[in-house]
Amino acid sequence: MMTLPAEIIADILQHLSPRHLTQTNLVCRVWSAVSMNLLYQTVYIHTTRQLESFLEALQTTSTVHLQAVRALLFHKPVNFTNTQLAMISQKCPHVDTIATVKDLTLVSPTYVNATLDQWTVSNSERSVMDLYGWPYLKRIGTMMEDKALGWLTLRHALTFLKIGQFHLDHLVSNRSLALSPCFPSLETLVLSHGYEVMPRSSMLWINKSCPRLRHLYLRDVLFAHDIHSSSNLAFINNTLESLTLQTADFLCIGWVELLADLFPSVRCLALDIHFPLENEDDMAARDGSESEDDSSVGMEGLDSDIIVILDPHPVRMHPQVFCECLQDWIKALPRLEKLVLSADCSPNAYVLYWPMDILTKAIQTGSWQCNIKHLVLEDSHVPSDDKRFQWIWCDAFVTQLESLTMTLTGPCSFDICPQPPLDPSCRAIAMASCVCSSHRFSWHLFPNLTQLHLKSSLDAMLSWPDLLVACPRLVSLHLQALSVSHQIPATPSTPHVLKHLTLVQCTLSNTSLMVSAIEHQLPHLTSVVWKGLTMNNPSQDFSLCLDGCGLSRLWLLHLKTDNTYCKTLSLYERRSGKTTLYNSSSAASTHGGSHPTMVLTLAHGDDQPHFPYAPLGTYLHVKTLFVEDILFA
Amino acid sequence: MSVRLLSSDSEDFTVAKEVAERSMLIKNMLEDVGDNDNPIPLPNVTAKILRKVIEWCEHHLGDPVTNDENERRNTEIDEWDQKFMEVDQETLFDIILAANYLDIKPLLDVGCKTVANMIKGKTAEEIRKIFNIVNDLTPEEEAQIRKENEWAEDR
Repeated sequence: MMTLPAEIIADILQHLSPRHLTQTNLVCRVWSAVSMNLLYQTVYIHTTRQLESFLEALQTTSTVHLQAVRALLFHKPVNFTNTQLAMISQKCPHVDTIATVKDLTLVSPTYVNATLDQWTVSNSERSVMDLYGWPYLKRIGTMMEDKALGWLTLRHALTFLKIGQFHLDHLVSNRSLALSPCFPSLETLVLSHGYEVMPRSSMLWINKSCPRLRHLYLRDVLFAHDIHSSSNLAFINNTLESLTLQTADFLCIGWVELLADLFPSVRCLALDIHFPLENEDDMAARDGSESEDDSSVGMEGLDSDIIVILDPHPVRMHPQVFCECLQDWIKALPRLEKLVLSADCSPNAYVLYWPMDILTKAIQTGSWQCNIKHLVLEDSHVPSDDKRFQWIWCDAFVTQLESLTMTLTGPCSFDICPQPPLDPSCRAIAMASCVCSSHRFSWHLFPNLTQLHLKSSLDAMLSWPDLLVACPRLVSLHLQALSVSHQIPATPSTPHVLKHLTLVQCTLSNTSLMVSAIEHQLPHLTSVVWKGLTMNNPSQDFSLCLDGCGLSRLWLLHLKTDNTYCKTLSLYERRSGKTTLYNSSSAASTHGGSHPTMVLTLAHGDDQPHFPYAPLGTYLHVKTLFVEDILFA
Repeated sequence: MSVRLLSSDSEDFTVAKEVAERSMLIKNMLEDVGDNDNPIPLPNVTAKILRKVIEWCEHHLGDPVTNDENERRNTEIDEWDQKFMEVDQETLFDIILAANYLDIKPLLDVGCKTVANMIKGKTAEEIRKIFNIVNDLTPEEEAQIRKENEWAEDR
């Protein structure tokens, strides 16, 4: 190895996670220097204890390493004191990013979702936040939208900026900034407008001042009715990829056209709809039901943050009006590939069925081109006895979908449709009518789907074998709060290409069958995350053998068997001929399997360790080859 | 249209121009010198390694080129590449060095990921053994490193 130059050693070690870097930096001097540099480049903090230990390390670690720090990433929002901020900025002057991210693998999304890469650092004191300490900072923002920030000197380097209406007005009115683009490097702008009216001139200013903008979020905006003023578009932005409007009054005449004219290259559009509420009880009910369920394991970046509840000036509209508006959007944006719709609706109000119906019909009749491949529906209320859900069965739309995310509220059955109708013209109706049938289905419903994310607030049912047959190309599957049933399929199941399996708060009705299906049907699994899973009817001593997969992540958290916590969970891991046993009671809440408090190393070549005797309850044994990231409790 | 390449041990290879142009070094050279029949000398690459590199370039001829750093880093090694990289350590390192010299980023990535996979899950001592590295850290330096590691281990 000594024949490789340091730059190539860096190329190699950059593929390793922090856990491995703590070993490689003990190999020799050259490796140590390279590893330390990589280890400190991106500091990812999971827990409060880790944060404390990092702040301590700031005092003792050599400045060379701290100079390397470019990004500080936190699992949860952190509220620093000014003293802490000052210390970090003094010790780590080259920081360009401070952000909260839920999962490191999500740091570079093609489309940045509204909550994905949010700036959430703030200081706890009522003074101006001093950011001069970080001359290289590229991404900044503030939680306090009416507080002045010392950031104007940084504006040429900024790529991410989150500001309020207060700051925008200051910028627009500042004549010294009018000559050249104010933010030449800015890629992401998050603007919270505080329900103030936004004049057309502000939008033109944003467009002109941020020539490289790729993601624009507008929150709490009321658009002004001044559309008749000058229509002279000085600059067309061809870089914008995603446009998100949250609680924005996008019905205002002319704004859809204006935004589409200014940003014709938009590929991702996210809208939320606030339908009129029928009475106050609904509001109270919604308020109560919305606060629970924190999906911190989330594989996807979207969460409930999109929906603003009980906002002071909600912009509400009738669904029919919204649908017409949506059509205008899709017509105006020819390059649209991804559509994110979230609805704020009470159980009795209208549902997202409306826009879907319009999309379906439009595609069927060919009245306009729709290239949407990625669809996200948040909070779609689905009535169980209704044919409204028929859009899902529309071939033309479904076959072009590559990813689908749905959050369902209200009672619904998610059985996947069994049989193709005989007459294509009545296909949609026929499909909808046999939603509750339990036939095995013989055709492919989602031939191109690679990502599926389903979340339900009620106990919706889903048949596992049907799902895999319906989505033959599925690579990533995330199910939340669903009941997953499993019967033995009539025909032997073929191996499926699924790589990432995440089940959160789900109920498995026949665990043993399910486990065996995972073992035999999913040879390509690389990550398994099970959280809050209730496993019914497992056999007394059941084990999950994932030896055949190249598993890199295994998270098993709060598993219940027959409604009691699965207390004895053991992991047998084989690497280079050694079998290691991790015991859930000894390794509880240890993240990173290399440091459980008690590790029993078994003899070489012992492939089948004896399962320890557990007198009470059902216990789960997981046998696997080497896993990179282990978390279980 | 083909190009002639000359390995360090003077073996002459004739390959299709598109294949040779997977190497940014050769591509730039061809642009500089224009069309001529003289072989391009590659003094840092032996015939044995050059043959492997050409095999790789031919197989990956139609691959889309991505400039997204993260996308490149996060894609896993495909089956063909895994098989391709099943060689002894010396050859593996020579391929990596050649990919670096010839400036073939995707091949360099595959090589580096292969080595990274050999490192994953191993202790420092095991790594030294695999790659035959002598530990030149003093006990004091090691103690300091362990201290600086603490925040990253505790997660």
